[in-house]
Amino acid sequence: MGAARGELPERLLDQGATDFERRLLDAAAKDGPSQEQILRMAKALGVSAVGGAAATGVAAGTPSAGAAKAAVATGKAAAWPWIVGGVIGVSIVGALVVGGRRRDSLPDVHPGGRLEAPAVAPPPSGTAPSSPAPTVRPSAGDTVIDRIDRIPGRTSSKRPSPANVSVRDLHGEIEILDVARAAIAERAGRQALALVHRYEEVYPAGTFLPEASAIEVEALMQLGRDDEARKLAKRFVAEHEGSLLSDRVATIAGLPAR
Amino acid sequence: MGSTMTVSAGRLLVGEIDRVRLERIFNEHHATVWRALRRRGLAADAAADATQETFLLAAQRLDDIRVGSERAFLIATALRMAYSLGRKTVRWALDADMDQHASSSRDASETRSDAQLCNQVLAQVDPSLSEVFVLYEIEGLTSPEIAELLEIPLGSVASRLRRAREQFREVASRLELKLEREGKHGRRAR
Repeated sequence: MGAARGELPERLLDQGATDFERRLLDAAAKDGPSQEQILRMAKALGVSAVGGAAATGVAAGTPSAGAAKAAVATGKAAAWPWIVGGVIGVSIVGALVVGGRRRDSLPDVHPGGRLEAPAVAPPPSGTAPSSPAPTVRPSAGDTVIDRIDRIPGRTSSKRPSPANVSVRDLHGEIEILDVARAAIAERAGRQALALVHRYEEVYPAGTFLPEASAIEVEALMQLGRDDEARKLAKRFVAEHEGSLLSDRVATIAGLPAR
Repeated sequence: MGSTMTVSAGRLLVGEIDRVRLERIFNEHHATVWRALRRRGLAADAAADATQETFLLAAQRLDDIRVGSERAFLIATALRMAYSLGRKTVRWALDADMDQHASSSRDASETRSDAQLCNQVLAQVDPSLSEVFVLYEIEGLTSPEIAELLEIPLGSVASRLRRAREQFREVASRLELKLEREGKHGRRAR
């Protein structure tokens, strides 16, 4: 044992354990809640759950790349005190996986452990942005539409092609949908709907089109346009069957459970 | 309405940042918290419920939790929660006949049964020592983290770990021999 105060030897799993000891300790380190329990906890907290195998790895603080990530379910208001009313909390990481499909051609979005706006990883080599991601500074009297209009390079006349998706585009997409979710939270369905339509106009091949559709369903329900909401929800569920996002959309629109 | 919306949107963006952090620490540490509660004697479902409550508490205290110190905070919260639930002492049910249970546990999935075996071995270790052993050998906490969590001197962590290891290895060795004699070892120690 190390002579210095508090110095500990290598962990048995790293050095010195017999095969049998390693087997016991390794199993104990990997023991954890069932997948069902994990998803239940995640849903209650309003977060996305990584696949079970990754989540029960040795607690060294490094979740391994695991199975496909599940889209988030709605969180309870109690777990998220800043949010009033039902808010669709969509994980930025989870948003890159839609119905199990992962868009590997796009850069990962990992917020990391920093207390700052969600960071966006550098784009793949060869697609470095020509300028830093835009920062939209609100000014007095701004409406949210004004704020979105000031996102550089994003006007109603420009239609980006999917091949040119960049970090800047992702930042812009996230910005719009964040404000749309804020509108939902404030029960400003009309504003939310306008933002979703603006998003779809500016980003016709946007990364977060499914999330935008989910917000649209909720906005329509808030405005009392239930029939339209349910029609959109049914189409969404059919197109994204099996995804947790489709479950959430179905719940919001009051569709029968599958 | 515009400025209200902008302020609200700003607040929501901050909320989104915290939500992202909560998601990260949940995915990194929920198993650790669950195990800590199981070691306090909670059944699997009850441990999941208490794990959820632990993270709900953490969500309300995110500003107070230093980045990188989330795990220690969560374990401390979980242990306090277990205490408030009346689970004051560490425990797996102490089995009068460890051998019998060692045999029957081989019927379950191998990993889960090995985890149960490990728990049975740890149940034979002095409770004042096993906590240090678990936090270091299984959960990977550092010596200062363990000292702070258990409110013991830094030097005590090392001495307790040494003694815990001796006991753990002795019990594990006996168990291994027992399983080999019964032909239920499955794998041989080299």
